[in-house]
Amino acid sequence: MKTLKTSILFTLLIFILSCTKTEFDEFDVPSSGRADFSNYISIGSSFSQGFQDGGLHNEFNQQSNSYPAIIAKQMGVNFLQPLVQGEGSGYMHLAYINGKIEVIKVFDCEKNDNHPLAKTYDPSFLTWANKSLPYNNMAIAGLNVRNVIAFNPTDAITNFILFDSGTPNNELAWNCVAGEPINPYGRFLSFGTIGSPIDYINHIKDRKATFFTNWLGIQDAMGWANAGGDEVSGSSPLTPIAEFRAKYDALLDTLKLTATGGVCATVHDITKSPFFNTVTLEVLDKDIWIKEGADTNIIRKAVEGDLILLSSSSLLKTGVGLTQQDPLPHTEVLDKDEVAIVKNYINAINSEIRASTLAHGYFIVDLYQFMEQLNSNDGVDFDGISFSPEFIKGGLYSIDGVHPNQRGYAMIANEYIKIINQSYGSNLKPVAISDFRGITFP
Amino acid sequence: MKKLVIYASLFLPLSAFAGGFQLNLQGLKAAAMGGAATGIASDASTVFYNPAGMSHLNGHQFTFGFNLVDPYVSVQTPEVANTNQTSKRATPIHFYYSGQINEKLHFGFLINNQFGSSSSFEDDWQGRYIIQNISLKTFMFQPTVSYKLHDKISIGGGFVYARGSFSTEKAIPVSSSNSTEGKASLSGSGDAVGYNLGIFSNFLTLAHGASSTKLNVGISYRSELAVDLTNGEAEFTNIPEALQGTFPAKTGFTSKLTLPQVFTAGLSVQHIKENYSVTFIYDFNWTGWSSYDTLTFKFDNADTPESKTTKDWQDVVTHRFGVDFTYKEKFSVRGGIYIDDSPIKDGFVSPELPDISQTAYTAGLGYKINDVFSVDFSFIRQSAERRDKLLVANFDATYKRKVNVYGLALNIKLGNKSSKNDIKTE
Repeated sequence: MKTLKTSILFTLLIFILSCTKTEFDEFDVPSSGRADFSNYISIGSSFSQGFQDGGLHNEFNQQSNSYPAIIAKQMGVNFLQPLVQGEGSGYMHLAYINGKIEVIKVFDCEKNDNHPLAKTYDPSFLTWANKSLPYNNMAIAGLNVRNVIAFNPTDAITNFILFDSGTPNNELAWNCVAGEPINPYGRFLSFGTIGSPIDYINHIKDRKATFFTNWLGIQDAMGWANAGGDEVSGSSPLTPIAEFRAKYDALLDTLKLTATGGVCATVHDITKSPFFNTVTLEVLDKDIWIKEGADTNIIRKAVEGDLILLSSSSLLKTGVGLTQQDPLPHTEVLDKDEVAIVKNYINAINSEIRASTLAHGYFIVDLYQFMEQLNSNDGVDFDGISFSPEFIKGGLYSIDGVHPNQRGYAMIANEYIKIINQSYGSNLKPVAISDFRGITFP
Repeated sequence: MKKLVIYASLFLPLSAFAGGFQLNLQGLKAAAMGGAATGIASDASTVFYNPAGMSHLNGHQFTFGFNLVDPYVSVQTPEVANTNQTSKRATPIHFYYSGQINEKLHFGFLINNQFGSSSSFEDDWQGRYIIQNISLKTFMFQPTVSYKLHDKISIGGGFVYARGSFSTEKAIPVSSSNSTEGKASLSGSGDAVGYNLGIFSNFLTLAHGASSTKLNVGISYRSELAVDLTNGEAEFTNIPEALQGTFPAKTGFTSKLTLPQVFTAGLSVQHIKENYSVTFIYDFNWTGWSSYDTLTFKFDNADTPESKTTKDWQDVVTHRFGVDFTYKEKFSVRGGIYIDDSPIKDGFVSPELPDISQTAYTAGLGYKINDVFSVDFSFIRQSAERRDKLLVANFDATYKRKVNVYGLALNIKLGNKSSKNDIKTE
């Protein structure tokens, strides 16, 4: 009798203990804290538009997974982007040729030595984006802070011609397509007519944002640096600091009308990207001759600290830069004085970004610091994947060596999310980096 | 190789079952009593727990046992609310024999699965670059002798031959335009030899009238087993053409896995009355997990980078307590508890084996059918949670784990029953 009771008790004990539920509950519904995410818009340049591999393309959701789109998804709000179709503007890719991985540049209408595998734009790109839709991602590749508002008629005409005029001149028109603007990436917005241009900032005002992220400022430094510095035809100048600040203030004044919350990001040190650190003297292991600048005739051997641009690799292959008689053109080298200019410039505009943002009651996402970590030689790890700033192998940057790939953008989205949560008491969840695609290998 | 495949299919691996990947399920009386058995010699499982204990078993004794391990593991990361491990149930087995050769000498043999581990997740889960599947299985064979030095002291020792097989799969973060992701599949097997030593003493017996009290102590040591995986086969699939030089479709690999040394000191107190007996048992158990320092895979293909993971496990101590109540030498009820330290330091917990320090509870029943046959049931319950960031992968996760282990064993006792009396009268 006693053993029977014990057996019953024992069976009961097993039954009670057998509960095997280990599942964690789903995360709480995202809370916006003190922020109102209902009409979130993104402002910025190529980095915010989802640009990578030297183009705006979406065949593997590159643009669909722009970092602002990732943030919006975590907010649980609708986010309309002017999405290109498939191969979009065309883009750089890797090919495996004779046992070597080669970078195939985007088809360039002005060159007659394009690689047979070079990708050009998808025909749909010429009619891309309906101008009448209320887009949330307002970022435009190539947009400088100086372009957001015109302070004088010259500004107005410059901006209009850059983004909206149908240019008959084949050389200026994007991809030599007559009637295209110089920069096609703002096609989703109307910039008016030459007689009455519309400022970018007016579109921002019309969007009546309740919340925004803003990573403008990169282009103001990058346009100059990626063309090897120097103010020459074709490269855009460094936006003067005073003008930068005034226009940045104007932009935030406009946002302040409707947006109760928002974050602005500092500009990272673009000279640490693979674009400037892949073709190095150490790798080339020979003397390289360079022309210093547009306004000097100094031809000298490249020294440590001069950054030879990634774009020069095809020239170097043809023998350019190997002799004093045939130096690398100044547009292919950011010489060490220019490197210092860019770094100082970035520090200067970051001070302005911080001051303006705080004065307007918004918060700073210090992407300068964050990208310093990503760009450190030790690299970073996420979900068991090791990342470093090394070109291609590093897994962080896209094939253009300037813009991150989808995984890099996801890391940036997580940094925004972290700061938004800290600033506004929201509980947005970060995204898993492994959910996004890395580089596509041949 | 064929043989190994058969092994593998016969004996499923064991899922993440605490104490590193050591399986403390080698005897079901012990399993029911917190895993303690070094200071008692109650059945043939003493061949494993303390070979010297055989000297106190008379006749020929056999134990056949198996466990059903039913694990549930879930993972939460800051990004993903829940991922369940797709662990399968496992059934480690054991077989023991102890036979008396003469008054002084016993011979024994064991086959069991002393170490094992497995962990598996859906192929596309967040941590797939750390682990998709991993499985370690071991098989031990141990011929053993014990010798009675003195009426109250015996010693024993065994030669251990171990066979281990290992397989793992994980994703490689490379993809091509057809959108598939690379995958590495490694498998290999190898063997190792070692030994098992023990000393046992029934040093005190107090008799008062119809009742008596016995005190036993035991110490046992099991050596390290360095399993050399010399014939490993690595397969890389879905690798983009340009990277197939680095990750070829097939290459060989070598690795080494050192199973730890284990030292145990235990004691038992048995109080016997006319109708019942009560036994308390305690084991102090030390496992030298610091032998699991790094896990390295060296590939035959020169361009495939060596894979080296720092494990940096630490030696751990486990305290095991158990109690047995036996009524009329026929019905037994057992219970126990063990306090288990994880060998995995903070910063090193991986979904590969999310080990957790914990207190676990055990229970069991025994029934003696007749003088020849008896059966034991055991049940172990583990339930624990741990949050840690695997620093090398920057993988921050909370692991929740519940494991139920059900064991069933059959004991057979053959031989001269009177020999028991002979020993007693000595």
